[in-house]
This record gives sequence, C-alpha cells and structure tokens, in this order.
Amino acid sequence: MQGYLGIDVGSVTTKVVFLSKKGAILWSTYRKTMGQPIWVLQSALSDLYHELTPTVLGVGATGSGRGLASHLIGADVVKNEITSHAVAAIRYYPDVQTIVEIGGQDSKLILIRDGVVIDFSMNTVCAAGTGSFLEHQASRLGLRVEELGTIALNATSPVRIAGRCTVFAESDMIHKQQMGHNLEDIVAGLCDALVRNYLNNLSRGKDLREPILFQGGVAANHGIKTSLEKELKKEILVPKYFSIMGAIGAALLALECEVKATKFKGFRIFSHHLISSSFYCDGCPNTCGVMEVRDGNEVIARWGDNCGKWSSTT
Amino acid sequence: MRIGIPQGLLYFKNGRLWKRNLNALGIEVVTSPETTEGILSDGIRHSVCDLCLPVKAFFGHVLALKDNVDCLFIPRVIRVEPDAFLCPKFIGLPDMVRAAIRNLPRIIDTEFNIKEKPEAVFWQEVRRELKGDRKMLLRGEAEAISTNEILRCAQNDRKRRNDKIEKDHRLQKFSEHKLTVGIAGRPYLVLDNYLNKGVVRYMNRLGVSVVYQTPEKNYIIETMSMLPKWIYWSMGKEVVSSVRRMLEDESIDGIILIANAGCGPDSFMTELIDGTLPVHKKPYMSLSIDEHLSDAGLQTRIEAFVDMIERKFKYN
Repeated sequence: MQGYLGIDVGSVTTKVVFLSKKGAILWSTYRKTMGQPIWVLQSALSDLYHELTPTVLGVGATGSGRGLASHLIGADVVKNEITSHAVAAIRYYPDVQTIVEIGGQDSKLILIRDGVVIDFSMNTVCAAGTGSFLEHQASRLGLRVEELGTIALNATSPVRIAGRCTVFAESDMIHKQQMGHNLEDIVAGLCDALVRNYLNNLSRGKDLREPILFQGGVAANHGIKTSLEKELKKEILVPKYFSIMGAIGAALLALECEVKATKFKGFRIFSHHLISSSFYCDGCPNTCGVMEVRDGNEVIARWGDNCGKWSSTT
Repeated sequence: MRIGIPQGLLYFKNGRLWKRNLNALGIEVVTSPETTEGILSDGIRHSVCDLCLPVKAFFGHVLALKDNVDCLFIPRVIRVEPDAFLCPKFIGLPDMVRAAIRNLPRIIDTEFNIKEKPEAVFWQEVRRELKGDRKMLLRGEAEAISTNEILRCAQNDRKRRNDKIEKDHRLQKFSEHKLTVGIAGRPYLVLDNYLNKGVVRYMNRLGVSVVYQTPEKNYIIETMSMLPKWIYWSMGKEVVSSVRRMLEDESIDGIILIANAGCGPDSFMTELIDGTLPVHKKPYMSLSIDEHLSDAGLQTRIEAFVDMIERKFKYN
C-alpha cells in the first residue's frame, strides 16, 4: 500500500496519519506525547507498520516537535502548524474563511480568502486560553478533561471566571465553589473564560467570516464550541478529523510537493533504542542548547546550534 | 585614556558618531562586544525585573567593559528633537547603571537635550568633562580640535546615518533573495543580532531578504499629522512612520513589527499601528520579544508568515 505519512508532534499530543496517493485517510492515530515524543512516535509508527505494512512515498512533519520528528524519521517537508492546518482545512472545506485552532499549548486564528491564508495570529508566550489551561482546571475539579464538554452543556447560568491567567482563574474558581455554585455552571464558566481569552488575544479587529472551522484537540469539547458560537453569534463547524488536521495537512504538503525520492529512514529504526539528550555548547558566549539523539552509541542527529558546529557533524 | 561605549541602546543610532567624536578628542574608544547569552544573563542578574530587555542587556555591556576602561560614555539623552522625548529609561540611564552596578569607573553622563542646548554645546561639555582628567591633559592633539570641527563631523554623519545603518549591521547583504520583508522596530532591538532572537538570520535562511529603514524627517512629520495626536516619543514616531513607509513601498512584500515586550511605548505603538494604519493591505505581523530563550515559537510564526506570502504568490 503506497501513500504519504503526516506527523504532528504537539506539546501535549502526537498525531500520525497515512494518506493514500489521492489524499484519502488510510490510517490515523492520536495519542498523548507524555513528554516522550521519541517513544510515542516509535510506537505509533510500529503500529502503522504492523497494521498496513505501507510503502512511504513522502513524509511531512509539523507541530512544535517537527524538528525532532524530521531528524528522527527523515521528513521531506517540515512545515509550521499554521500552513498545515490551513492546507487540511481547505481540502475538506474549499470555501473555508476562518479557522479557529486550539491545541495543547498553542492557539491560532487563521483567516483564509480564496483558498489562501491572508492573515493569522497566535497566542502570546503564555498558555492561558489553550488545552493546557482546561486540563489544569479539570484536574483541580477532579474531572477528566474529556468530561468537561458534556458537563458544561448542562449549565443553567455559567459563572464569570477570569480567563486571563490560570492562577487568577484558579482562585476565581475556588471562590465560586465556596460560594456554592454548582459544578456545571463553573465548568461552563471556564469554557466562556477560555473563549473570551482566545478572542481578546487573537481576534481583535479581525473579520471572522463564515464558514468557521474549529480544529485542534480542544474542539472535542462541546462546551467550548457552544461558548464560541454564543460569543461570535455565528455557526462553528467542527470537521470530522478535527484533532488530526495538522498531521493531514503535513501529509498533503508532502503529497503536493511531488517528492521523487523520500528521505524517510524506513520503519526499521523504530525497533532501535533511541536516546535523546541535550547539552550547552561552550564554544562561544552564545552557549546554544544542542539537542542530540543517539542510537546506541552512534549519534544520529544533532540540532539547535546557531553556527552549525554540531549539526553539521551528523 | 580609554573610554568605553557599551554596545547597546543608543549605540545603534549614534555609536559611530560618538566613536568618531571621541577619537577626534584624542581618546581611545573601546566598545563592548556584540550581545551574547553571557552578556545578557549578566545584565539580567544586575537589573530589577521590570526593566525592558535592551536595558538589561545594556547593563551586561557595562559589566563587560567596566574593568578595562578609565571611564564610560553614557550620556543622559533627554530630547533628540525639540518636540519629543526619549523614554525615561534613557533619561535615567546613567543613574540606573550606577545604582545597579558596583565598582564602576567614572561615567561621562553629559546631558543631551536639543531643546535646551545645541549639539555643539553638548560636545563642548563632553570635552570639558574629559579635560578634567589628568591623563587627558598629557595629550596635546585634543586641544587642537575645535568644537566646530566636531560639529561638522556630527552633521556629515547624521546625513549618512540613515543609509549606513543597514550596511553596518549586515542586514543588506542578502538582497538577492526573491521575497522582501520589511522589519520595523527600535534599532537597538532589531539590529542587535542576539536580542532579536536571530529573526533576520532565520528569515535569510528561509530565502527572504530583510529591509530596515528609518524614514526621513518630513515623512515622519507627515505621518504624525495623519494621527489623531502627535506621538511624543522620538523612536515611537520613527517606528510608526517606518511601518507606513513600508506599507506604501511596493518592493516590500510583508512587514514584521518587532516590539519589545517590556516596553511601555511599544505596547502603545503596536495598538496605534493596528488602529490607524491600513495594515490589512499587506501581510503584517507583530512579534513581541522578551527574555525567553527558546526560539521555537518565534520560528513558527516567521515560517508561517513567509509561507503565507509565498503561497499567496503561488496560487494567485
């Protein structure tokens, strides 16, 4: 079976898809990165290999861990998340105008006109208003993050919670609990807070036209979708493959660039024992942090140095 | 006698002029090296947390210089034009340095305020300050140079400053690339290749040529008269005007505003540009830079920005 591999290594989850030569999804997975991107990638690819035994024609990597992924497995296209998400969205909804993407530690707003990205914004350094915020608050309430959406939908009058900062949100939430508000209203309040934060941060003055797609892991949360619709007074569409759109986009980009000979290192590498480590180079006062991946005693990849002293040696 | 000029803040505007004038006084001038991780982290250790990044780096430059020089040249710059100010941190710079760092050599902190006294008087006062030094008196050649000569030097230099600044800081040598992105922002952030987190280097690697320019005075005046109210920060005026200039310039495909996260005026300028200039006409993005050491977030944004422009050309 021939096709293209798309890999999206995010801060919280890792997504892998395998597309046919025409771009149909043949296989996909969505799993927690759990701080071990290498191991998760290895296990995902070994699952793919055992289920399909595919022939890889090209590889696209995206996500905040795209550098690591491309060094490990050999990617033909290494693209940022914005381009990848947009490419995938346009494939399924050719007339899409706006993409709301909320992931583990990033949130993005992408404006598209005539099938081309014309503007985008991303959250600032802080991860408030992203999946991590929800996960943190869910664990404070003793809930799993997956449960939040259904609970929020049962709210009668959502409470107001500050969404600017997780620390403030937390103290607000404790206060509301002590005042006796019920769980549903608090969770719905959390969803509203996240949406308010997202819109304040990213959409200021931008023209959010319909159709609006909602992608990324957080789109699984119906509470957030409802809050978004309430705040924007517009319909929000959640695509079928909302959680793996980045990986689909990466694979489509690999397909689009008509790779002649793929850089894919093959499935065999995933039975190897790979260890990653880092060190600070002391060659000059810039003290770059250098990342290194070893296969046994052999260094297979190094990156992160500005001058190329280390990355050029592998 | 050796005088040290820290390579930060106004050095990126006036460094060459200062060096030349001090040399003309017969003084050996030493500058600190370009900003590195070491210089910045030294500076951060010596500063209070709410200062902006370039000021923190400036402290690092002072630390790198202080034991190798007889005095430091840190003028107190208040106004560089009659109707506007520099940020209060420039006005208080010599005092902040004294408060933050111990065992400093003498600081030449002559006041520069164009509204109260002309540039020539400033240099006269600098000269007077330096003559007070005993070692300085041994040198005869300084006496021979008249203040007029220094002033002429200053004027010539100012004329050439605008076009020289790019060449000086290696921004222009990548002009053969196909996409051109204009960068706006404070010179001491944009032109400092460490503080700007390698934005310029990274864009060049993506095959984009980078342009940085300061518009002429008349253009700045014209821009100001379009705003609801004149800006009273000199550099803020330049930043806003340069964005407007680049929006009009057809050879520029996109604009990135590099703002300084800890900077009061910058947070204001960013909003002002969004609200008053037609930024939707061209790909435009603002990045705010702070102390973070990982540049992954920055690279994602730049990459997406460049992709956006490229794909627009490709599919339109």
